[in-house]
Amino acid sequence: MKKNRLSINAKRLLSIAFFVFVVVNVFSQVTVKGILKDEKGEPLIGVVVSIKGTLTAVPTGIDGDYSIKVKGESDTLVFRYVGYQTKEVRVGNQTVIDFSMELEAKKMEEVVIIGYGGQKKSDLTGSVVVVSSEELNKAAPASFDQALEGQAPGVLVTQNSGRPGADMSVKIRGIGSINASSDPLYVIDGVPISNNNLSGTDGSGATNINPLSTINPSDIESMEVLKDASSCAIYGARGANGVILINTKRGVSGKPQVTFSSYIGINYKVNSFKLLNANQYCTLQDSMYSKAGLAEPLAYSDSARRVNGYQNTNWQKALAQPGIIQNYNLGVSSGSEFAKFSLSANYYKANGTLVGTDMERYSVRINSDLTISKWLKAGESLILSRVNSENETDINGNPWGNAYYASPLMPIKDPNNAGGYAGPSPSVTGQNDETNPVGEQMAPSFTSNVNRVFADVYAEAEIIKGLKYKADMALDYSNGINNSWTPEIDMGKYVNGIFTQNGNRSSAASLNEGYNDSREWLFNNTITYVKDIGAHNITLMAGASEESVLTSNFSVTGNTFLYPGFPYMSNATVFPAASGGVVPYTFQSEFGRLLYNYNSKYLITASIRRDGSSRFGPNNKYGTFPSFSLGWKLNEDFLKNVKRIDMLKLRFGWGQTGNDNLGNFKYTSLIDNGPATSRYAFGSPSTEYYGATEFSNQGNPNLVWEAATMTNAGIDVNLFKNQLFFTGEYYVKNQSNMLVQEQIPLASGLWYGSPPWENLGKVMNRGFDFNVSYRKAEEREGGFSYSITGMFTTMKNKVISLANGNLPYYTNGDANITMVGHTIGSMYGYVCEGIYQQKDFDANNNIIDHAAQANAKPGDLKFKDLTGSGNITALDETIIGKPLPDFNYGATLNCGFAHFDLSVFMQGVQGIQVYDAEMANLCIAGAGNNDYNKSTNVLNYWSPTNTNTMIPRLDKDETANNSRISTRWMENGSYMRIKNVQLGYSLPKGALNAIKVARIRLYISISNLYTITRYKGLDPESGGSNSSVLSAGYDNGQTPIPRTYMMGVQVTF
Amino acid sequence: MKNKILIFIIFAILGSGCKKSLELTPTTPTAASFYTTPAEFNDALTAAYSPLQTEFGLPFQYIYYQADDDIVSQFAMYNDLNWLTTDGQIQSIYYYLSVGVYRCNIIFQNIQNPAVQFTSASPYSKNVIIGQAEFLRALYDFYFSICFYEPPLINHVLQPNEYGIQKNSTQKAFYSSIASDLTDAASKLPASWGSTDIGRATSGAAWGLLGKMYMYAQNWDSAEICFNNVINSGQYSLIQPTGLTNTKSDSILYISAYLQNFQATHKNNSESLFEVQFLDDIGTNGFLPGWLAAGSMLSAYFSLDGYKNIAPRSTYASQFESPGPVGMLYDPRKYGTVFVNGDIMIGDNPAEYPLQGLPFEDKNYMTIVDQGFGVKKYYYPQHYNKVDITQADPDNWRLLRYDDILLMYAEADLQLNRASGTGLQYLNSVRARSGMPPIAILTPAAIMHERQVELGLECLRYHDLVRWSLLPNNSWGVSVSNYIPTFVKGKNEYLPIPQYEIDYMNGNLKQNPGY
Repeated sequence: MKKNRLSINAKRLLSIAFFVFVVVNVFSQVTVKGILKDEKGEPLIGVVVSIKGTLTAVPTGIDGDYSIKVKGESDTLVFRYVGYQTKEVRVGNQTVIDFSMELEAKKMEEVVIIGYGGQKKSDLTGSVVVVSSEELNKAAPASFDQALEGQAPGVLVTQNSGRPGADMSVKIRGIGSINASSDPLYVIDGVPISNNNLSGTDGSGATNINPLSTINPSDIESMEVLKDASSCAIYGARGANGVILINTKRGVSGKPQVTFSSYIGINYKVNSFKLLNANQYCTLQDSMYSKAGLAEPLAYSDSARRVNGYQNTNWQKALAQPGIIQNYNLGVSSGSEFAKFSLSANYYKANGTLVGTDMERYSVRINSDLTISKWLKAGESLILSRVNSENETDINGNPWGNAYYASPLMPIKDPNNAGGYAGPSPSVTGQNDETNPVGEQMAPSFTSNVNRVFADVYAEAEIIKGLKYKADMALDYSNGINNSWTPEIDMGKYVNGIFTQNGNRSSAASLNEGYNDSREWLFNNTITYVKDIGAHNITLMAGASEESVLTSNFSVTGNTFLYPGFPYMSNATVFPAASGGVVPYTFQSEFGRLLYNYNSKYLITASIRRDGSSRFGPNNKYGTFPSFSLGWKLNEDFLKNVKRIDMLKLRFGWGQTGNDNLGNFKYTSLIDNGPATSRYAFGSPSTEYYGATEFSNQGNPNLVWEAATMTNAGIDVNLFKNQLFFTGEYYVKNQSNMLVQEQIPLASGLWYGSPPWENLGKVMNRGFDFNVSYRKAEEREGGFSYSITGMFTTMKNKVISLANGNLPYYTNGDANITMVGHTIGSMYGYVCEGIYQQKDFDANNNIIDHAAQANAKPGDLKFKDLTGSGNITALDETIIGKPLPDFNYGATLNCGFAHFDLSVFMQGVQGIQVYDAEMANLCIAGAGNNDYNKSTNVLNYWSPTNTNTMIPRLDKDETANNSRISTRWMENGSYMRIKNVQLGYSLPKGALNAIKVARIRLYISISNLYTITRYKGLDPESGGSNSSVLSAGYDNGQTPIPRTYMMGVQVTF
Repeated sequence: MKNKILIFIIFAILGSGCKKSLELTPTTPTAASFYTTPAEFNDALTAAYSPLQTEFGLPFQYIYYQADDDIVSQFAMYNDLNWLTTDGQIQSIYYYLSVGVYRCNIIFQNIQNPAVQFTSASPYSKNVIIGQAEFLRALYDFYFSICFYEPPLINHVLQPNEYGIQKNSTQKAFYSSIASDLTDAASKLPASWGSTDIGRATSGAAWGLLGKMYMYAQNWDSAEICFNNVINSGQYSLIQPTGLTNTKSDSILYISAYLQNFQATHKNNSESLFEVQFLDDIGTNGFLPGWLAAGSMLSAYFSLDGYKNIAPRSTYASQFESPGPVGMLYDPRKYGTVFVNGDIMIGDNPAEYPLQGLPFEDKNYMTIVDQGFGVKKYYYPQHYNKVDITQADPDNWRLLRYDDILLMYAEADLQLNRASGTGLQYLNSVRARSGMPPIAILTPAAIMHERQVELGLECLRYHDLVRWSLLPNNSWGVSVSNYIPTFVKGKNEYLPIPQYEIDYMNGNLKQNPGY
């Protein structure tokens, strides 16, 4: 090796010496001068001007000028500048060479990464969407998946919550699986990464950090979304839900380029429920109690309120904060012919709109590429990051939910209580025993921290011309800690028999820490052979990869602290619970691909992959996933002479991919030792015995891969000098052998919480994707330029068959149903026909002309007797909504004028129904003994004098069950949202030259500016979304997505 | 070129050399590796006992506590026997009985494996483990048959291909399976256990349960044989009041002797054939009594210290004879069963009782005037509405009591037309323990009365009423609707099989009559 390098260097020196000797002897030296400008006519500083084949190079000066001595006419000058097309000019007899450098993107054929290699964009036959760094970073996203929203046709991205760092739901071309994950595979710089929960597990299993938020979005150069089988099949078993390739920024040749960008902003909670104030609340309770013939709790009386100081707490306001958001990003990139590198450092912090929530990220990235010799290259990508998150600490559920129900009569603070927060008590809040939401959020703390190291080292050797061998070794390591601390706190008075619902208002101090450690090794080898034989262009790739993942976790709870105020495990004396485990996972693959084109006219892509996964039993460890696709460029064929058509390509593809996303060891039954439901006591005195049973996992040795068969047909058109681009695609995706957790009969006696997995059930997704964009370049400097991009996707999801004779799956407490012939996770409930009026009842108070409905009185909701049985029963429930839209769309307008640029991005979904569960709760006045606060809508309740309303009558016990899931509270969840508006100003070049800065851009932006929707809940987007497809479309008042005002600066030195 | 080839070879070796196996071993035992050592069978057996606690026990008590005529409940649906096929409590009963049966079956499936080596050093012999599992399976099957009539009888671990095809069995098949399990269990189980194993099934428990089953099967001769095995074993006796002075102060002695059957301080006493065991440790910082897998008796959950959703009916309180012994106003068992005037209830306000001041639809619950307003049996004097409430009730659920055996013997005797034989003696011995005078002859009314006052509020009454109403030719003249007006004959004898299961079996499994 060493000898080899020496010999190469020696050869190079010899040849240079020879060259110099010959040149010097034959010609005299000539000086060539010139001025280089950019596309706008501004001088370009720092362009590297070199003589081809020599080490001689000079940079351009402050006016874009250069001067270089050449040996003669046969010399060629090479002009290189980051972001611009490298140009070679033969000197000839010229002594002055001036020109404007051309932007790289304009002429250079764009190469798209397609997994284990690249392909010219125009030669693509599969369905691939490229999202550039610029589009990704426009709205200051916390994570890159957030930035994908509305950017790529066929991709439905929804924020599950407005909490910073919260999970996103990313679905590519519909939903394929019921029980297995529907998330796409994420691949960073060629390495598939884990998208599992990274933070340590704790008992509550509540909040976690979105694992993708550990990646700084500014580090991403581009992102490719692979949608169809022919592009995904190279990722075989994990491609069924689509693949998202992430390419981080890499160094380029040229002098060091330093960039700095920063923004600060502020998040506002956009929407709140309009709730009753203290006076309205007391008046309502007064009416309700007197209607029920009951004495109202003293606390609602004026005299008691006077004693209590006429409290009127607005809990939603008390819980909301403006969330400051800040981001700093420093990047350095440089390179020579032999070594290139790109570094970045990032700090991001966002406070949530809920008090006491935030997320911050520190990250560093170092990418380098070395050219060791003409045939050997090596390099690395390294990302180090840490994410800290202060989460919602609420013990009982949604903190906003507490805020909706809590009594406005309860003050926030009470210095007499341990912890300093007030709580419900009969003398102040009467029967309303809802906890103090501010105390629940602020007194305890729940933090999650994740450290992540992503490292990839590669070497690439060109064995013979056209034959390249590449080896990658990567590590994705992360460890997470969840720390949940509940101090000694008293937020409620237990008084005989009054409060019976929630027991958590008083607690001794408790600390839970959960640790999670995950390391994934990957070793990847590919060999690629590129050969052109006449008009036949062939690229063959074959490879093998190995992955091994080991996850371990540990969790411990400590109680009874020695010294109050020291929330550390070392201070605890009693440790009631500890748990932990180790989970291994291995994955092996061999794969191959052929790219063929004839004269760049007829295109063929074919691939095959064989995957082995430890997740399946001995007989089914391996799966094979083939694909092919064809393309025909009409513009290279008979349309060649049509000037207006720059490209017209027809594509067709077919392929199969798989899914093994079901967790580990599901093929075998695991014995669980000591769950609560297997313990028993024996002896006198009695001792607890820990039983063992097949509890946590019921094995199915016959499990096989879930398979998705996808067909894709598409057309790409570029018109008018590549100014108008259009892509249209039709896809059908059939998921079969669907991995489902089967329902089991009670008689089996197996633990229903973890029934065995089975390969049963089919789901079909189909739809159209459209993408159109128009770019109008400015015709002269400072002129007007603009571009418009729009995308549109339709989707239809239908369950074809299900386990156990098509028995429907009920989830989310029977609110969602997955049923043959319908969309996965459809909403299930009664059909509401209106509200009963006095005239619907006869003299004996029996309903006339309608099916019997238990306890119904005038002012109750009227439900439809679908079975015609004459009684409203559970059998009258039906599908009343679907949680997937008919279509979603997005549009971006960019325009530039002089030094200003403006972009507007809007996005929307149409044809989705959301069950407004929280609104239902808040619009039904009576619900037993709790006297929860309600929406002001309740004031419009039905009464004999107010009959034209859809708010049910006041009934303290809600005897008629108006709150059952029904169409009454189903709403249209469609919305159109102006997601981001940004106005930027770039300082003129002249001003910049004076301070030797290449570029300064200042901008202001507003995210989530305006929403058009008929939805009555807080936010149709977060409300209709859920990380589980089986409980989507059910809005229990999730944190609405905030509005963000931002200003930022981008500097390139 | 040579070097390129060398590097290529290195890559290739690296590429093939680090192949990781796809055969991984989980970090917990698998079903394939488990069930091989005696200790593992012991763990599996513990799991088979477990559903008796809160999982099966709590919903069972929930349904039957509210069902009978001695109790009135706030929950009209349960009080009026308006049982729904979709009811979660009923489904829980059904499900956890299935879980219990499954956990026994998996022991039977694996224990005959020759690789399992039981030695003298094993904590329990193979037979003792089999005997306990047989007892448990019979116990679960017994409840299956008296609660659900004729559900599928599952005698092995179901395979997935059998899941959807389970059909109704017959009561006869249940009885025969229970009898076979219990006869074998009785031969394998010891008559008693050492202090560390108290609570495990005994031969006496097996005979007692088998006798009880024969009462349901109306096989009086066989029932008596089983009861005789219990009575003659010498293991059981009624707890007698000691130090009687024949003065009024005897009253407390009678009451406390009777109450030993319901107090945590006297678990597993000589009157117990089988108790569902709960830990002595009550824990603190809990939520409700019985919330965790320990201490579950519903009187603690519902009554006085609990949600106050139930109350004894005045008609029940008036069943107790008056006067009691030596100057007592009532039968001493009344004082051990319901609260009467003068009883102290810790930390509670009687005015709030029942039902947090809400109107009761049935006004027949006992009032203070009736001298009774709460369930005292199984009462556990810890107030749940406190900070640092107990997490668990340490008392056991006395599932099969010796006085029950004696009274059933008397009943069998009467059915065999021996109205003044041994059975009469046994019944009178139960009365004598509480200082009540003997009766002269066995009659249906006498047996019904004695069971009602001796075994009241123990979730036995409802099944007794149904059992009597199903006697051939209605020989005792019992019609349940005379006691429970909302009882629908031909329907409420049994619970509905959960709708989930009916749906799952897709036509193979028939719903019980009337649902």
